[in-house]
Amino acid sequence: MEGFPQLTTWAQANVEQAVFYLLAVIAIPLAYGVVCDRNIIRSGFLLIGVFSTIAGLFILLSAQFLALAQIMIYGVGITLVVVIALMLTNPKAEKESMPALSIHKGPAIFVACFLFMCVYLALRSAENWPVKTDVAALSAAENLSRIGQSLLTNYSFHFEFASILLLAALIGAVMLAKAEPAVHDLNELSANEDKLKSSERADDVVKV
Amino acid sequence: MQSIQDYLGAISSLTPVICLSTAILFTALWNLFFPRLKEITPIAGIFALLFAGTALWQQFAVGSITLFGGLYTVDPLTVLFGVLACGVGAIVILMTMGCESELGRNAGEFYTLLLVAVLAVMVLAGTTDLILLFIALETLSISCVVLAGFSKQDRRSNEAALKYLISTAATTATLLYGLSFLYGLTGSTSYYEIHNKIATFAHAPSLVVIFTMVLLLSAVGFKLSAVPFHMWTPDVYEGAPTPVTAFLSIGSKAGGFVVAIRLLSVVFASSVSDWSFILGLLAIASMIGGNLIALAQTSFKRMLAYSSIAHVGYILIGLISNSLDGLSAVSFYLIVYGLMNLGAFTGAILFCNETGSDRIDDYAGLFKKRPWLATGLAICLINLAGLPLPPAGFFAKAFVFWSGIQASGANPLAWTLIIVALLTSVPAIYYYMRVAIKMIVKEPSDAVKKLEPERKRMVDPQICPDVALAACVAGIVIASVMVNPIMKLAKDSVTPVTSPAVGMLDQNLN
Amino acid sequence: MNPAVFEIGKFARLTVIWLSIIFGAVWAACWAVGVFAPALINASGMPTETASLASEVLRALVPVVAVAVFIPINAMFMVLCERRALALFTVRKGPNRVGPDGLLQTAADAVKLLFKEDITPHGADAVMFTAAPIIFFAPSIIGVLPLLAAASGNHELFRSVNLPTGIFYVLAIASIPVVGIVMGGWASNNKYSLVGALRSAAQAISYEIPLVLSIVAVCLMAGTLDVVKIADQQKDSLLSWNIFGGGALLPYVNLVVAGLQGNNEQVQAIMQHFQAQPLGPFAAVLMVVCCIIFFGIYITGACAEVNRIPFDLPEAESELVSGYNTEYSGIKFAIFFLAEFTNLFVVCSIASIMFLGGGHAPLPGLEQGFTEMLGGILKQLPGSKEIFSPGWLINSLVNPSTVSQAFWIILKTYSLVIFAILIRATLPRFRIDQLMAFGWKRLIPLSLILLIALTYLRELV
Repeated sequence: MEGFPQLTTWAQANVEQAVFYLLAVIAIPLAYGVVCDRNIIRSGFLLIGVFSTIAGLFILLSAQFLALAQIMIYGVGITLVVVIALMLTNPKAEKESMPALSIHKGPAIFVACFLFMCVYLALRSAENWPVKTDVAALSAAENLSRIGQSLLTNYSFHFEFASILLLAALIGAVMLAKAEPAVHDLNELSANEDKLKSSERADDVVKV
Repeated sequence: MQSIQDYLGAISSLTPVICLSTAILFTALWNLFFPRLKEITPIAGIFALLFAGTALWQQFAVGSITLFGGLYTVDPLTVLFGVLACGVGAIVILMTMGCESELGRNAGEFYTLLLVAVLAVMVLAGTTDLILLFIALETLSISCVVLAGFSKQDRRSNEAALKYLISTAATTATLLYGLSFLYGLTGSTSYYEIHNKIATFAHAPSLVVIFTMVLLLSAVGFKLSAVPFHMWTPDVYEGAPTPVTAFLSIGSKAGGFVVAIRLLSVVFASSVSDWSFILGLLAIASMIGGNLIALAQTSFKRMLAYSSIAHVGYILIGLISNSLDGLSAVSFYLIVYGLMNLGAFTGAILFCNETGSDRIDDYAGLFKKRPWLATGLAICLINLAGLPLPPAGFFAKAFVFWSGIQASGANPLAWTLIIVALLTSVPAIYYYMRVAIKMIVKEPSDAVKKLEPERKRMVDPQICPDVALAACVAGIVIASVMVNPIMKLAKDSVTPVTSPAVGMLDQNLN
Repeated sequence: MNPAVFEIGKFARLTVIWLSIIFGAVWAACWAVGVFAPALINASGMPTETASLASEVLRALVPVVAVAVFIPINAMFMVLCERRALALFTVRKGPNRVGPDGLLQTAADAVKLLFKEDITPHGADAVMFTAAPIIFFAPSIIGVLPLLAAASGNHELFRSVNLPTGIFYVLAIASIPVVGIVMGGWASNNKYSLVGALRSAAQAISYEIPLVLSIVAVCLMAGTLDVVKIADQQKDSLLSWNIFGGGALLPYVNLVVAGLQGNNEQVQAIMQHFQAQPLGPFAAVLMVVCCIIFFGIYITGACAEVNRIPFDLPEAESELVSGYNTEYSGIKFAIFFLAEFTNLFVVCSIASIMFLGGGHAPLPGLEQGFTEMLGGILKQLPGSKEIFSPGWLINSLVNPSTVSQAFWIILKTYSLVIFAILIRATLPRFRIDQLMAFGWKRLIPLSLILLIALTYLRELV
């Protein structure tokens, strides 16, 4: 918000914290909804909401790039594919074959409270959480170029190795999802292997 | 990372990784373009692994180098575990070539994913950065999930993949939660910097450090399948294709151990007493649980699965002692355990290829029909039991126990651990020897009776598991004869991470 | 007179009238909120601090006001424009009864839609059914903000929305509407809606990759994500536009010009520069080719993103009734409709900023000449600094460089819109498997290869 000095100071004093609590108030019920909604597709959509509010938190931390990546990749790309995959299942049939929720509420609440206490005590026990001040002082453009630089220098190996992870996931997904003849047909198939054109194989992959 | 020279230097240190990546692309594409020459794929995979292993081996003498500003380390530990992973990968490929028909038309992808898993272990061995740790662990998990579900027509294989996927997703979440705490506490992702920061905290580590440690240990424990994180192990081991089980039992475990070694002795070096207590409990539970449940199994693979849990318990003793002796005992145990376990699984594949059975009772009298197979398998089993015949397995156990005894001064649990380990070794000897004795002494079972007197050599790749078994047995014999050189190797490999040297590494950084 | 020419003339007249209405309204609204109201506040004698804070708030609101005024009127125009243009291309009359020569047809349609009954079908998920059009529409409001800064030539009132993540922000926000489509399609409890929604998601996710890659190519050449900077880098002439290689050919054209003028010294100087890069001319031509193909990829991906023919499978009326919005009526349908046209406008304006030089004129000197001329005229007027005097009014209302930039970007963007309508009138619809195969097996590999090629060519030029 360059060019609006007074507005910026005023917003930093009054709005920033309010926005944080607003986002928290939105995010927590949404997250609760993701876990508890009986309709799994609705949970999927709520998950998109959760990711978007988290993107809002990133913006508050002046990590603009990360927030946008969060929206583009997690909010829209991945979760939407998950939702679509859920749509391909048949929740009604599942409901009939499954007994009602098998986890008892009492123990679940107890475990949740216990874990919350653990996390809370652990968080309180650390005296000095380091807060980096120099990063917040960077402007968004500098932040961006710093991300780019570290991705291409110190973190270049991570960056490249992530592509191997994605390659493995891609190959695995295609392999598992691909329609395939049963094993006993395979012998016939291998007899016909010579006739099998490589172009047909490529088609198989894409139809998945 | 200051200049392009540094960058190029880093890349040249990563030759093995690059070599394997090339092999991954090659195996992924070869069958698509040249389906008639698909026999080449596994051979290319083995050659790539051998090449990568050799290239890695040459870095053993170089000492410790940190790359990318301390985010990746090439030291003898990296080299040892990387070479171990390569060796395991090569043997597993040999095993797979013998039962390729199970994989259907996707054999090429199988080798690709196997190489990815090996590469992940290799990177896990070298990573000294939280982000890379996460990426590499995730790569390992995802490729193992797909590998476990590779026999798509087999419902048990599907079940294995699903169970592995869900439990691995849960532990990934735990791991990430722990890593985020660690980053929040120290503001860094590099092990060395985190180590320095945590060391500056008050002497008694605060609750949050312990909390983080528990989260991380649960994720590592899952990879190691230590009790109580073992729930997935039997079903996955039984359902997955046997070569995959073999890989999971040693390849992915080696990855878990090297992560544990680096995390615990570098990052959490200042809170030894806490983690050694937690790990001690895990070790006791694993030894008791694994050995007792393995007693009751009728399926050979399932028996090996539970016994691998018990072995993790033994290895953890070495880790807990947190000394040079202890860590080198861990490395030695892993090498020897890898050889004998792979040998046992190869035997299972060879037996299953001919009889289609996995039941322990069916192994009876195998010696009468297949003397060489029975002998090789028996040697592996005897070593797994820890009997000195040849003494590699015995030495491995002895070293671990000895290191545990030496550490008894520092660790209150040490004597309990040793006693539990000695006591639980008795059922272990029973259930391993039961199979070995059945094979050699008993009358042949129905399944064995049906075997042809001479094995029909169907196609050439059928000989590959034989080679794998021979290699494993030979490895065991060599390890028995050359205990000292191998132990020295193991000692050299862990020297950089044991406490005094860590300080030296810090100085190397900037 | 030839009737076709006559019809084209009528179409041009319609366009000019509507565009004047749209941009006159936007201009007036921005001026009222950003200049006039703050001036009023300052003149009213409030305490200085409150007054300046209030005027800053008002000025910060200008971009939002501009978008809010622009979107509904623009969508009305674009619907009318599309119907008339389609009629023109298929030799029909098009809407010509409501208002003078049909000018008010879509205004009437909009009123009709607003008064229709709003139906929520039986078995629909009411909350998500209502949320879907909002999620579909909201991104088009917040997503265009950085583009405003580039389109207005970094005018001070719009400078605050020029984010450093510029084009990435626009793309990220532009990817949200598909969530609304899937949500609406699923919540409608209707199989046609659902199939339309699934198609839409598959298509949007597949075609987003080549689209983003083509934008990445532009950012690679520009070295920034900032839309204002990207537009400024293309200000010289047609040859420095990114579609023509972002100035790769400029030195060679200079050489030819210098040779024609007989300026030997300059020729020598340029030749010496070329000796260092012997492959230069070849690489420059290849780079131009790459960029033109990238522009084509962008247009293809953009058409798929906004579900235009030939990629309108989500609402293929011959198969799916009306696709994801089958069950919608009344105001919710109107919002879907509004957003669809706004999205088309947004992708066209991204194209004109990223590839076609933004608000800059195609020929060197044109822009400067216009600005100087308009500035000269303005100086002739009675110059008075006093607030609310006619001179102040005109000076604060008309900024020569902004006028010029706005003119060119409007011209470019609406040309692209009409090109999209031409495509709609010309091409048949894809089949879904052809669509996916084309996206994954042609467009993505092509754009990846071109991106790598461009990276190396850039070094050679």
